[in-house]
Amino acid sequence: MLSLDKFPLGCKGVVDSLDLSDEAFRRVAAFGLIPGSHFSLMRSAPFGGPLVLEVGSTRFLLRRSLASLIQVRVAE
Amino acid sequence: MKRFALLGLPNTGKSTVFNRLTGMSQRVGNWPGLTVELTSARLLLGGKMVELVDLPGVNDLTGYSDDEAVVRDVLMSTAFDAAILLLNAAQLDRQLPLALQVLASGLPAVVVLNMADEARLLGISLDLPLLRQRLGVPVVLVSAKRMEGWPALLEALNRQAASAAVASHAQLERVPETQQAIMQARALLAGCWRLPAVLPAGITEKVDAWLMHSCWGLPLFFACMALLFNLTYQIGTPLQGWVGDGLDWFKEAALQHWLAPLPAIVQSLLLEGVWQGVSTVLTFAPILFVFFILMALVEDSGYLARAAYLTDAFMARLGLDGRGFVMQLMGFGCNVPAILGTRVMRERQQRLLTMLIVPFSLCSARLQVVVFFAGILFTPHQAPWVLLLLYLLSFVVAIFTAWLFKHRYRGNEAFLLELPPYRLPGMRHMLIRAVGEVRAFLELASSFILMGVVLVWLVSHIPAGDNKTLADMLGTVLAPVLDPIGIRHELAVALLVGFVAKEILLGGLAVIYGVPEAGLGAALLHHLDWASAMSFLIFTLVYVPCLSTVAAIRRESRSRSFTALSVGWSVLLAWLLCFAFYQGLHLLR
Repeated sequence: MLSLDKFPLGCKGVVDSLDLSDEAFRRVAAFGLIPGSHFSLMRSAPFGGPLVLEVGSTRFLLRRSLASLIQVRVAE
Repeated sequence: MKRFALLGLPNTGKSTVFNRLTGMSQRVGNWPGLTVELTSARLLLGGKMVELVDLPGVNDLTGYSDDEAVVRDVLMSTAFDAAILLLNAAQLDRQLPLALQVLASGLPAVVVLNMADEARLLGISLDLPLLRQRLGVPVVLVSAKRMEGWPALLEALNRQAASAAVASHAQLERVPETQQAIMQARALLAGCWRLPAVLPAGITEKVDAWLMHSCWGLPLFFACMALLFNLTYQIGTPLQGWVGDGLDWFKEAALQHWLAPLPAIVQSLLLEGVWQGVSTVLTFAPILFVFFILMALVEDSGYLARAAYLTDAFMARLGLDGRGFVMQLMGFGCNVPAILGTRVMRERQQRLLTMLIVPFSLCSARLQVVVFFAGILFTPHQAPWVLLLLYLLSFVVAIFTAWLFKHRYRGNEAFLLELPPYRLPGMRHMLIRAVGEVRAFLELASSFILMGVVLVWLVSHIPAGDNKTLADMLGTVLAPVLDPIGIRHELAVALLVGFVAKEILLGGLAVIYGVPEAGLGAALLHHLDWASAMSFLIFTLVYVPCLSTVAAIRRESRSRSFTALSVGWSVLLAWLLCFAFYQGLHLLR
């Protein structure tokens, strides 16, 4: 298990847990990131910029500070 | 009259559907009892007049973002006959939970699955009759962009409007929590909506390989911005010039003759006060129109989200998001549209912080003043460098302001932004939107600007003894603040004129020194020493850009105290900078 900001670029993964406030959880869940959901890490901006994830057919960016609170594992 | 609410997540093409259904008849107005502005329009459905209200895009009915609170407040305070729920057919996995929340609230609903074309391209399988049966409400599949499925949509809406049921309030206490709604949606979609195991790679991936590239992305972003900027002013400035010429012509050819019989003071009030205000407002219209067309292009095409991706690393440190940077850059043309453009940021704190820094962008009107002063104070070799230095100054001042206020206007850490596939924006949609935005600005800002202009006219015409006016007295009264920064007393009036618009500042200076504008350079050199002229220039750069910008801030923030803070802070900062410059120079000498 590792946090999302350390996840290898270009790989697919599964969300394990989210250590977020209710409000932040709602925002993240609205993009489909909930425990058990599959995602792939598409891009990562240089200079500590945001990550781009794909969940289902939805692509979105999220900041690394937020990603560090999301525990994930590589999908088999 | 019946009332329908249009609801959906952000980026589902809500405003396109709204425009398709209502055309140019829409209007923006305050919602009774709430301090929010909503767009609504009337249309004929099922033989009944229906008011369709466009609610802000939300992810969740139980959340606490600004938009979510607005939607809840409106649904609680107003009875609706139906909700039109707009969902992206390609993203039902994450969009259906909102629909289930709305259905649970008891509002009669029509579910509209938009972007049928994109769902088809992605190879998504959808069993529409099964979904309809499971949801228990009408469900139609459309592509608003191509007007696909439109007859079915209109038929469903007509039937809804013809129903005899009375309007009801949403029962928000019955809405399931986020996680519960997600589980329900998952169960409901099983067997009737499915993504293919591997999504086909489309044009978006190919374009993003360039536009979001870790090396080429930023240079391409700046190239795009330069193009956008140039287009706005290459097209907008001549239009602005024509409108200005037309208004001047009208003033000289007609207005002056009509007003000639009136006493001189009344003529002056009407021409230099009221008419000046009217022209100030109207000359903004063309540039706003062009700006909104181009901004719609950037936003609807999906590029704005890419720009946010590229600049977010830097902007996050200033407490802003990447979209703020785009507005800051647009502000270098004109601050007014940049302020109105902050609307793309849905979070209030982020918008306020961005609105606070946009006025420091050296706009084209101030550039005129800077170029003029640089020309008389420096050699032709030095002048371009001074200009560059002043551009840098405006950036530094903006960054400093953001840094200083970022804790006061702290945005939500949970910043997520959808990267939609690239889409070709509809021309009609962009036009309707631009016309609507310009009309809304003119309606709401004109009275404010007019009042300001008339007020300044009064100050510079009300006699205050000794053949002097209140404005002349201003310099004397303000001596304790003007002297330490080296600005001569007579220039207080020029700063007051510059508060209205920087375009008329040079003309104001010419009046003060009693010379034609062509002789202004020589007159300034004669009356002002170098340090005091530079101080005046720095002050002009940093303090309030113009009354129209203040009006825009007032309208967008809906807060007098925030507007006062913005004005007060820029004046204070201008004074501090001039003080440091002028006194520092004295110490060095």
